[in-house]
Amino acid sequence: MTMAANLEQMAASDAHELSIMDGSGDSKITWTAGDEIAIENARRSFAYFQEQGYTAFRVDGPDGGIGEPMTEFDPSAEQVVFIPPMQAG
Amino acid sequence: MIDLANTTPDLTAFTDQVVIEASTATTATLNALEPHVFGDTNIVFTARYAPVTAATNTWTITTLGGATDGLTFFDTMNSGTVTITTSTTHFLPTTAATYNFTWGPTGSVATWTLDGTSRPLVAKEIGGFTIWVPRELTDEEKAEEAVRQAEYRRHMEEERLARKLADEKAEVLLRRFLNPKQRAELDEFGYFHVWARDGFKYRITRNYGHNVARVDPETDKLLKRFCVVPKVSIPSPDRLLAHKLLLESDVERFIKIANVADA
Repeated sequence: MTMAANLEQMAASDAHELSIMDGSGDSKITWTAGDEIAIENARRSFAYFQEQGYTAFRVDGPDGGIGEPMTEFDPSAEQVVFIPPMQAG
Repeated sequence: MIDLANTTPDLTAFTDQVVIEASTATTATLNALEPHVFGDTNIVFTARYAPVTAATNTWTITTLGGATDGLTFFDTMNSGTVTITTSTTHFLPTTAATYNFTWGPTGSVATWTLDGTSRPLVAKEIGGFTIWVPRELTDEEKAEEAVRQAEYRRHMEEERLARKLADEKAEVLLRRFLNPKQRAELDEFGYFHVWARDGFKYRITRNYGHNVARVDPETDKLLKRFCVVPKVSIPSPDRLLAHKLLLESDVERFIKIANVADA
């Protein structure tokens, strides 16, 4: 499936996605509006990675929208990316 | 003083396990193929160790007679230096590793232990140095070593495939958050540009060190270079995406974290 098809599928299914960067590329947690169990799982994951020093960015819309830092979980966010703690190289 | 710069001991037979004892107060860097001289207090050498199969494997280095003067252990995989006591055990990574050791003229290595199995060392005179290497294995030990090596090669291949998959996955994530122009730049030049809220344009390249540059928006001349790396291991495309997100949303934080260099 192409990336565009993936995005279309996400839009069609109203899927929201939380991507956490890790050694495997990223781990994903998804939820849809109204699925309270999945939303609660995403909310807990959000809190956990925040505690670990990760930074969340909300990126809505296709084609490289500019990410906005996100300090509280918002289930309406289309896509959330967690980046790991950073340091000088 | 032994001039290692003009000495090329043939250590190729010992690239997996090499221990070198300084015979004089000399500072040198010696890896398996390319020695250098850079001072006169301690000797530094690099040992390459590969055949490990699990993160729980350990490597114990023990000094002769408890001599510890100047003996330190530098783990290039974890960027940490550990002062050797009479015996220091280190957890090995599961990937191939390079270790640098430094010790003074009174320090020397007595045993080399892996997985609790001590490997007595024998001395070889090579290039003016006493090179301590594990003794010849018995047939039984060789058979065990062959099994270990086969397992290691299998493990390394699995790791290589896992890294390839991780890179591919991270590349998909990166490209999802690039606009068409940035994707085209990345494909053609190996970098893409972002505009930060400080009004500057930044170039993010696939290079590892100082891969972010502030560029003149009119001439694209490089003005400053920045190095920011993740504290945990992530594939390279993830790192580029992290830079993009930070630069576009919080460039002040990015610059505060960064190691900054002139272009």
